[in-house]
Amino acid sequence: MKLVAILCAFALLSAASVAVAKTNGGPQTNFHAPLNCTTTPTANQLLNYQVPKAKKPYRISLMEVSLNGYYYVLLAYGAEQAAKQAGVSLRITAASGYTTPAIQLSQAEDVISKGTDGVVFAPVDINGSVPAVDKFKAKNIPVVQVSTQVNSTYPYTVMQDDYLMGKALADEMHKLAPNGGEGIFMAGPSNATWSRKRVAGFEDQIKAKYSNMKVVDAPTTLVDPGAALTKLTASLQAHPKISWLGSVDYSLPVPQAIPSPYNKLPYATMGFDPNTQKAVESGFVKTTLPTDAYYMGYLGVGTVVGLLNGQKEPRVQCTPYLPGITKANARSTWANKQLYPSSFHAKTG
Amino acid sequence: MARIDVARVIAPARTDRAPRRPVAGSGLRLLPALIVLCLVFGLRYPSAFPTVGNLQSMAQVGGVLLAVTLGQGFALLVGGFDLSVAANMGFVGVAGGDVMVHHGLAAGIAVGIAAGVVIGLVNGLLIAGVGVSPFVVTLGMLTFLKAFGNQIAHGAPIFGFPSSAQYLGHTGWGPIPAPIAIGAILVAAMWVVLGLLRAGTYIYGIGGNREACRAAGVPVVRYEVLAYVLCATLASVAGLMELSRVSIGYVSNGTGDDLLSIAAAVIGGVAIGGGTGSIFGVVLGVAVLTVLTTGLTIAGIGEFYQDMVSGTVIVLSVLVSRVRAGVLREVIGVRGRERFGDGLSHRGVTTTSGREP
Amino acid sequence: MPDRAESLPLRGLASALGRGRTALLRATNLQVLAGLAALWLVFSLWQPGTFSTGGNTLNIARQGSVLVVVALAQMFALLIGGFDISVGANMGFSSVVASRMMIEHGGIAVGVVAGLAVGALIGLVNGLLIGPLRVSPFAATLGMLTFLLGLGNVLSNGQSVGGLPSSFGLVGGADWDHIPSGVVLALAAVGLSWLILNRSRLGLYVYGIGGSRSAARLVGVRVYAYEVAAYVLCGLFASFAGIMLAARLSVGQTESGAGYELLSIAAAVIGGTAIGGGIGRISGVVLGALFIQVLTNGLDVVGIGVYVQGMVTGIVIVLAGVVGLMRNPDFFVRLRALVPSALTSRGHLRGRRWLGSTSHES
Repeated sequence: MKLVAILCAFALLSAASVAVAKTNGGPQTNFHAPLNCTTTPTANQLLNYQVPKAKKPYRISLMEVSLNGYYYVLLAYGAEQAAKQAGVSLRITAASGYTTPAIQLSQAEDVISKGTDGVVFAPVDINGSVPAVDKFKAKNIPVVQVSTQVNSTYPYTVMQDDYLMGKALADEMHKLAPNGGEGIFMAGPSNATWSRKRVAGFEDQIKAKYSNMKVVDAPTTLVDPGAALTKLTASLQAHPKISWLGSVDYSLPVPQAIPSPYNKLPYATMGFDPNTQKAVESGFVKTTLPTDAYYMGYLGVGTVVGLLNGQKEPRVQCTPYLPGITKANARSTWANKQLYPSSFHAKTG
Repeated sequence: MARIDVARVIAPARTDRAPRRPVAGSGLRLLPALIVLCLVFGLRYPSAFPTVGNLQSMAQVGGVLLAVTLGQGFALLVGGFDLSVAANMGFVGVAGGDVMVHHGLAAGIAVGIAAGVVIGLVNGLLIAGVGVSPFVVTLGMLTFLKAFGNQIAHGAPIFGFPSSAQYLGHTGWGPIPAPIAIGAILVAAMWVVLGLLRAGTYIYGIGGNREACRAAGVPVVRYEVLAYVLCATLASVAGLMELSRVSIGYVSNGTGDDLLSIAAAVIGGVAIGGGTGSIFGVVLGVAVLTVLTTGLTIAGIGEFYQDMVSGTVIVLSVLVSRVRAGVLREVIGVRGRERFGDGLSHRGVTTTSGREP
Repeated sequence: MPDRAESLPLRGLASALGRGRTALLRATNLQVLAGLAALWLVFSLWQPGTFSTGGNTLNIARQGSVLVVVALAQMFALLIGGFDISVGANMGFSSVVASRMMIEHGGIAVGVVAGLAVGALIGLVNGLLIGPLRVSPFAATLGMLTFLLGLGNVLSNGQSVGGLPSSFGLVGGADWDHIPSGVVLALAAVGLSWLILNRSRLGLYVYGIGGSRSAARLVGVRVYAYEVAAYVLCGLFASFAGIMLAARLSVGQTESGAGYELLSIAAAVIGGTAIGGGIGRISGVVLGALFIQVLTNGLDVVGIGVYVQGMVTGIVIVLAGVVGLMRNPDFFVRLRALVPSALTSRGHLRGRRWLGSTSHES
């Protein structure tokens, strides 16, 4: 009797799982579209940009996804530099990663109760961070979203165009491997919009223009260099005859970890940190497209201050990803603006 | 018989299970499963799976997991567990890595191992000495270590290791990938500890029946602490290996290995609740898990479905071991021996969770 | 070993089926309350203008309501002598199922019912594995956790499920006449669990089985059935928490419950629920959850860096566990005995193979 009951329950659960799994549905986002940019500053324009001086000592909040990672700390550094130059105070909050919209919402509530005049907001989740933005909207607090999008028309935007970056990377890849061939493109987390857009752009461009290239695998992985390396090595077993390697992120995997002989293949990626600089100079990475984390913070704060000052600011500012960083310009001003001084410590508060 | 302090958990539901049979072969039962898995993947993907290259890459990943799981095995054997092993690996990646960058390989290794010993001491003293539940202690430790590691690293990666560091995990020792070579050494060392040294006997005994050991005069606290120290130290070694394999020091190194190590140990026959398990089982458990995940990745199975498979495998493997222990008979209701408790008939003393009056 | 008159009793079935020593538990609640008050005081003095305001208190209440419900879920599993580390994955999975049903099959009610049903089903499977099939709670719920993360992502294509009807947010996210709706829902959950645990036979037997499984079986209680029931309740409450979270965020997401499995156990343990079963009060669990929430919120509000927050939280969790032990008077006896035995070599038995030999792998 007991056994029958148990077997029934398991059968029920399995049937339910299969039935549900077979349903075609669930969220579908279009990852194959570029942003609707109002302005697209070039690298030089960005390097020459100065934040406006604030008319009053506004209280600006920077809400980050996390502070565990070079990108996030660099963003904070850019924001702090801007705050100093503009003459405003800056407070930073950080959630615990891309799966914690609840924490970001709580922090939004805390930020409002502490009092803030303007927010630079890096959304944790495209849908899950909407309530947080709505809270700011309800209080008429200007919001500039950076780094990735949220499904709301309220915020101004400063971010990179991931789809076009993917396309640009395909162009760079083609330059590095003009004879084409098969290759592996490391994707990021399957629920990360930025990653899916970059993959979409990359694959679309390959299909459209480079018929002698073929993406044989685009394994997804958490943003964890260890997991990415494991995925890559497994994928290399399945596809040993590749001619190029690409990745959506400089730590997926860490270039120096790529097993030989594949570390001799041309490798192009996106993003930057001191280790990537080293990798570029030693030839492990041929090209990387910068993600301008510094400017997310810097331009983000500048835009918020401008709005608070009553100036008109562009609605969507798309940050540049060219020129790509190669051995030739690995120490240029442009490359150095993708790094923060090692003595800098971001602090939440 | 007085009730034992419930707050000192050996393991939560380690209650009325079937008494532990001699487990010669609890590890062996995995061998057919491993062989079947290898055959399935090997035949299905002949050009990708059964290659030297794949063997080496599986050995690389598996070697790190093996070190962690060996450590976790000790914590499980004394009836507890250690949830902080992953944070330990990340912390060593950052702290040990930083020292390695500035003061050389030997210093980095020394600091990493020392960190492991300290972590293990804290865990062990709180769990065995003070009596706080392993869950609470290792949860607190894991939260602390993650934050502390980030504090040290300030979000930046640790890189620029001396080239000799690659022999910890990145490069092979000859044709053998470094992690598996180190793993083999660790396996041999731990086999000696468990099988030949008195400490091993005591560790099994403490897991089997803590109160009986104490009543007989075994310095229970000391050996339980030792088990946790071994656990954390092995995790730190794994952290050093991972640091080299991934060529970077991040706090997130080792993510997921806390639950994975417990899963591998459980699959390999180490009982949650203590007292049962073998080194051989641990090795097989790690092998099964590594082969399974690698094979599924090569097969192109999405990671979501991989998760579903892993979850099912964990439960199935424990179920299978229950079947062997005759529980299925009990479940179906064959009234063999009517058991009232946790092997009262076998031991005649209270169980370690001390539930019986 | 002295017979500890003060220790949590297990003599006789009546004690076994009792709810533990009431006096001891009331003391536990007082301790947590004192801890909570101390925290409140510290944070209020630190940031007078911002911490103890009405707005911030409402924030704490809003944020804590989900934790309270999932801690109650965990309580059921703990009381019966186990635990459930799949509650977080359950939360996320239920939120995805509820969200999709809500959007695709018309109606908040359908979605909520589906989500709750799925939660109960998860609890049922857990209970069957742990009860009759005697799989350890860790293995069973770990397997379930991994499975649910995978299936949840399959159902949601790895993304968050947005586009939920705006009235759903009213249910879980908005304020009903200045009281956060989440608080009302949490209170309902507290009330329901109180009824179950204190006014129903199910509750009686859950405590009894947790107190002594074999004693309960001797008396003829259908232990398996009640074990399964406890886990079903756990799963049900967890899915309820997941749906509340989805309402607050207006999104269903597979990983939204990440971290709640450990936090829920911590909250319950801080509140006096014993790992091992048989002891625990709802009031304690609620206080424990509030303690954690106030700590998290306070550290945020006073502006402690996020890294230091983690370190403090880790230490506090361990301290709470130690304090929990101090409720047992024998604790200090043992602590004193700890020092000498750790230093001397008393009790070495050379060459004797131990009881462990039956389970010792050769």
